[in-house]
Amino acid sequence: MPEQTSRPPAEPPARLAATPDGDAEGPRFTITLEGGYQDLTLAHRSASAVFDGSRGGAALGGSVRFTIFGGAFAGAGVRYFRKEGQRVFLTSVDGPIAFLGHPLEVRLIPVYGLVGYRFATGARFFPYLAVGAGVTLFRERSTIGVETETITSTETTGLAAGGIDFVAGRLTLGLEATWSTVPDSLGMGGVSAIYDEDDLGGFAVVMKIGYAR
Amino acid sequence: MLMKTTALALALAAAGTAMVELRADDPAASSRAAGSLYAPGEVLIQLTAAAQSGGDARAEQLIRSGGGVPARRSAFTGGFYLVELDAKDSVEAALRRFRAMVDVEYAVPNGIARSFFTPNDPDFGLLQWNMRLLDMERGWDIQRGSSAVAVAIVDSGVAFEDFLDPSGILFRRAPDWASATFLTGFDAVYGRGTHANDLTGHGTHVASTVAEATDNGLGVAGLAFGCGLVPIRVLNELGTGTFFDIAEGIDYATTLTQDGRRPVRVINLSLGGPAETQDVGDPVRRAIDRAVAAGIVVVAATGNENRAVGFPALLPNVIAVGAVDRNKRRASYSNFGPEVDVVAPGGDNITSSLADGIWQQSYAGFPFGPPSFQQFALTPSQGTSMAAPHVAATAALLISQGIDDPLLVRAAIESTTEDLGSAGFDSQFGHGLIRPVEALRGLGLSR
Repeated sequence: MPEQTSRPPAEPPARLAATPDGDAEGPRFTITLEGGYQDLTLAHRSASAVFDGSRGGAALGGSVRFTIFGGAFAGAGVRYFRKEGQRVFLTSVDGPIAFLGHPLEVRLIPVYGLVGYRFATGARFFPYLAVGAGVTLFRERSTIGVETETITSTETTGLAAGGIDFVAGRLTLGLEATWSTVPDSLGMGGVSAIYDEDDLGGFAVVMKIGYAR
Repeated sequence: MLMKTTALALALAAAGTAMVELRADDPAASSRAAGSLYAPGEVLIQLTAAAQSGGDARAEQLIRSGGGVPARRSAFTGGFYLVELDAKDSVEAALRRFRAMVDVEYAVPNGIARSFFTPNDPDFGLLQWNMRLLDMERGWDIQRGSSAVAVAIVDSGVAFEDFLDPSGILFRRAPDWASATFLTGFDAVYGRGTHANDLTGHGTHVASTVAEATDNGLGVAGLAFGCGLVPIRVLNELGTGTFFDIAEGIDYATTLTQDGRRPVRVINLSLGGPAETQDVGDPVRRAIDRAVAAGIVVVAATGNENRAVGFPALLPNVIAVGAVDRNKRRASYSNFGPEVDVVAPGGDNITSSLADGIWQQSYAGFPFGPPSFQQFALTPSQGTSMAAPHVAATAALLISQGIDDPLLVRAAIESTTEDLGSAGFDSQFGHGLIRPVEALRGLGLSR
């Protein structure tokens, strides 16, 4: 009589044990803080003019994301970008720029929602792609003599993001690149009218750290 | 000694003291939120008469229901409150809430007033409509001129020193220069070397528009009173000058060196001849070309014959300046044509109204009588000669502010004018009336 043999069940795939709650497509919920660099790519000439050659700077932010089903997720985020420069004078895109010394400050606060998809790799790394939309709160403040002039507006924003999250227990680390567009937010005056640049969007890259569940 | 003319003796008391202008822009009306134009975190509300009948308790209830906290109640106006907002609230949002309340008659931001720089020169407020037309009280809050920037006054000379001329004329320094910086001058007419003393009063009046001492409790103001002046005499006692002398004077300004650098950045030419003199104007044209090549901004008056723009103003590398009166109308005498670049205050009708002239210090009796080389007064004059130094001074302010390229200086002047006459460029006003404040403001990212 042949022996019946049985084998103990195979160890579960490593990936199922890699994440909290055993979710193969990644954590169900994350909340992260992020910091990195924001480039005013789509208005880089205008930015370079008022920021004396620099076209971007540090950006800080945060986001929350939760799994919808499988690898699909949704979330929301906010970032803060601020940079100081000075008012200038120029007449043409290729002409000289005169620096007038009047302090100028630009502040951008994008607030957005997004949806995306995480790809399972069988390990603790979860690359993802996402698209989103929201608004960007824009403020430009200049001090000219004893007067301060402030311009504010709220602009529609679209974005696409790609990145990779690493999850270890409750800790998540990540790296994300974002491309945003803020159409018709510039170009009505100032240097942006001379350079014919009308979009405050551009490329950003941030590192993330947060909590995953 | 500074004497006053009869017209001035009949004049009103001058302003003399700091002037306050209230600005309370409504941020809800445009996307331009006025940062320091109103106090952050505060709004002012006026309750209706019906709401006031409920007393302070009712008022507090209403204010708190609108999301604010009553901070102060007017001691003089019933139902008028200063309301403080929560740190997370915005003035714009609070205004929308309060304005939607039927018990609130009106709600506005708590505007901030500040004093502009108003010089204490006693006759500034009374006589200098030209400076107010150009909004220079705001302009001086931005820039007053750098002593490192010099304007060459190529004219009849300037009353800048006490000097006994070999001819026996005793020249006196005009009283309202105070600490004005005079660089070494040049006399092209009589070979007096550096003693370019004024033979008519014209040059002193022109120079005073540029840099008469300001905020010194005396006389009137100069537009770029922090800048230096170079007196260059090319016109004789009849007010005429040869092209040779004028070319010499321009070349002197171009080549003047001090401490290893060339301080002259602007040349003012309140002189010229009919357009047809350009046929023999090679010496002057070439001298101007050399000045422009050296990075100097050259400004010239268009002329006072109510005809075509004269020479050298008509040259393309010269900023040609026409004149307007206090109502921004082309002065009746001001030459016109496609060569006019901009206009500036030049006065008009002073034979019937002295107040419509451009008032600066000069020899007593100028321009109506012979010069008195030892006596000075505030004198009215009119002409494109008076308009041109407003533009020369504006150029000096822009250079002081940081616009080093003369082409950019010219572009800044021409691109920020107030359009007068026909829309756009026209032969009466050129690009329009200069606006020094707008030129000094420059450009931001979005505005």
